[in-house]
Amino acid sequence: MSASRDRATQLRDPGPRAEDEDPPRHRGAFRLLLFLAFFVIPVLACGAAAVYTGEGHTITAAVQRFLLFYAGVFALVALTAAVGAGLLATDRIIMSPGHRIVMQAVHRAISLLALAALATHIVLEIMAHKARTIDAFVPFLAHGRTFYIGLGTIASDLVVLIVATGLVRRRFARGRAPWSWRLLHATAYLAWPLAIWHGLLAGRTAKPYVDWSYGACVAAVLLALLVRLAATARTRPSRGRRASSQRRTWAAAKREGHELP
Amino acid sequence: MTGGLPEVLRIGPARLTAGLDRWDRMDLASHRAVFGSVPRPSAGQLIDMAEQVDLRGRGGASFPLARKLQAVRSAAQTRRCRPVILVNATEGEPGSAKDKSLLFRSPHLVLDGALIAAEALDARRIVVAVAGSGPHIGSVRAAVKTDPELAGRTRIVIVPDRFVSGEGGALVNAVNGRPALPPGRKVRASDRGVDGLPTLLSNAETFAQLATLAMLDADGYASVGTRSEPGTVLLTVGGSARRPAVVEAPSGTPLGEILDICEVAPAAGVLVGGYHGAWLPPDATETIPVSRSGLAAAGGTLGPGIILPIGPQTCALGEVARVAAYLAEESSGQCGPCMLGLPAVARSVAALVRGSGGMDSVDNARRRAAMVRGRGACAHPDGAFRFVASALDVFADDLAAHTFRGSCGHPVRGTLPLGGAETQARLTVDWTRCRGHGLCAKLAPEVIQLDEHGYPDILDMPVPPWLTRQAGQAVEMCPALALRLTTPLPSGREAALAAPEAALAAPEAVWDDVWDQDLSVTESWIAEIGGTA
Repeated sequence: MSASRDRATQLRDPGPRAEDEDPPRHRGAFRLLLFLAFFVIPVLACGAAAVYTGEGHTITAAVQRFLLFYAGVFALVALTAAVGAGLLATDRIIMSPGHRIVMQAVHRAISLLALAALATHIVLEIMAHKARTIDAFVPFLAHGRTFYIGLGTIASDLVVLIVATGLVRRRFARGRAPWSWRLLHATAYLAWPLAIWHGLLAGRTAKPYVDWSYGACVAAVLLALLVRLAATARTRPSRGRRASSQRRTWAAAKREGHELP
Repeated sequence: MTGGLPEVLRIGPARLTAGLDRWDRMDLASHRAVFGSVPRPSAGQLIDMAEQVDLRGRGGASFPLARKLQAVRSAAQTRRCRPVILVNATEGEPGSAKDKSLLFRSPHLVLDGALIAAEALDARRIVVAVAGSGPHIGSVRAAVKTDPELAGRTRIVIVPDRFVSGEGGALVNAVNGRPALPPGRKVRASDRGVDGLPTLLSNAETFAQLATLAMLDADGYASVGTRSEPGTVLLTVGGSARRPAVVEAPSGTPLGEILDICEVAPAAGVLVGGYHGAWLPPDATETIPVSRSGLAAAGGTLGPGIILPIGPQTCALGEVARVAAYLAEESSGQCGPCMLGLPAVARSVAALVRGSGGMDSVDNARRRAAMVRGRGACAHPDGAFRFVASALDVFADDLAAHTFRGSCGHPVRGTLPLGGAETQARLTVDWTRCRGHGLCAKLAPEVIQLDEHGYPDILDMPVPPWLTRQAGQAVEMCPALALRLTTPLPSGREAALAAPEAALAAPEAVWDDVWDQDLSVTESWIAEIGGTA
């Protein structure tokens, strides 16, 4: 074994490495046992019950019907909440750093829920033959309501992209262009209105209070966004302004006859 | 230089270092030629001898070995079981090389000591714990294989190369297959050690001393050294020494003499006892006797025998700040006062060095250091306190320069060695992006705190393993994406790793020509160490 690799394993693994005898290694086995007992076996049992029993069939069908009806609604509500929480998490005016950390965690959790609801919605729509698999990825190919279903497809593609890049945010911080993350993440403000548009018009006719609620959400988010942009502009002079101030300095220097770089 | 380890020098008669002026590494044959056969004292005899010469543990704590032997014997008798011998050769102190040098160049002496103790206490198993990587591991493994008395009963355990791995409880944990961390409740190894059996746990040099004691018996052993602390001490001299070395000297040798043979130019301060030790002012060092009592009287400590002078060409406080950050990073992160207190100490010392701490910065540093004293599962916080507090005393002139002028005018040269932490990631800020949101300071307050303007002040140290999660979260959650975890390029690192690897092959190369050398030196050695030559 090379010394460098030896050292690397030492750093990663706090446990000892015995040379002539193995130290006790029960704990790995114990964890596997726990995982089996509390996760794998219950999941398998539930799966078997759903498939092999009459009651199981009834329950599965009911759940499926319920989710076909509501998964899209859940996805849209979660997406709205995620946008709101994300926006709130950037606030420096009323929120302390500690609150912002909590809000960021909430934002992440809701976003993952939204993604799960979205996946359920898409899978069930395909299973109910209301859309084809390709409609889940490529917009404007659906038969009937082509435009409104297409809006949903665009929104869902963007949401997947946003969540995926959100999960690897750390890599953007380390990479050469951290600002590209912000650019990608800001497409949420495109995806979310599209999703609302799709939600209100692609399926069953929405009740008036639903229309009003989403309208209020959009207005609130717009307002919050304006506050955010104003606050950002205040704390951080834009590149353009920095450049123009530099130009002014140079022009003044030129007038006084100094050499310029 | 052998295998990246410093050379071995001696003052006066050779005890532990006997034969090392003739051989780079002593194999079994040359070892037997120099030291003769292994004596078999009974437990009572061994305890009497250790008692008579007041042999103490040489790992830093200086616990009387006789009491340890006694405790293990009585525990084994009452529980009717066979004890275990555990040789602590982890040597987690970056400034120390004496145990590694012994294991690399004279492995059979350490193993003889373990064997003598095992035979006396009727122990069957011997465990040798070493840390990290290096030529000494290959050497001791080869030594165990060639000695028929050891081959079946000796196990070598490699533990993580961290500062706290060598703490007794942490080591027992590591050998038992648990993480190498100090336990929260003190358990004496002599009661419950390896596999719950009574365990004689001592440092590698102690076992080597025990071997020579058994070979010479008490009177022969006491023929050198002071009356109260007979025998020799094994020291590691580094720092600004032009000839860094492991030095064997009779206890009570003046410190000046030891610094002289290591070619130390006049020093700005001398650190004795390693990073849990204390600084001595340069004017006092000449005549201080190197012994436990001599160094303690001067305000120092013998500890594991580390002597690190630093010259006037480097920024002394900058060196102290580096070590303070290192000690904070080496905290195992178990005990609150240590995991939060040591970074706070490191931060105050860094502020002092930068000159940003203001008039009460010295007071701040001292107060924060005193805060951690005695508040941990192991002695790590206490040692860090001793190190920082004594530095603030000894480098008073530099303190004034740093406080009033922001610098003493010297660069930090890295005279004091740190462990191999350079490969670990550090937190860095892209200052053009940072907008002082302050989330990072909330997520990882141990390493990041905010300055008066709300911008992060990050402690200059690698992210310790117990903080990896929080540091990652801070990077992940920074609203401005301004925080990064960066791993420095391993340019100098590769060379450092290549050296021990090349040296791993060295023992074999050395054995070949051992046979050509003159082996009949036993009598001359006995005469030499007996003081009759």
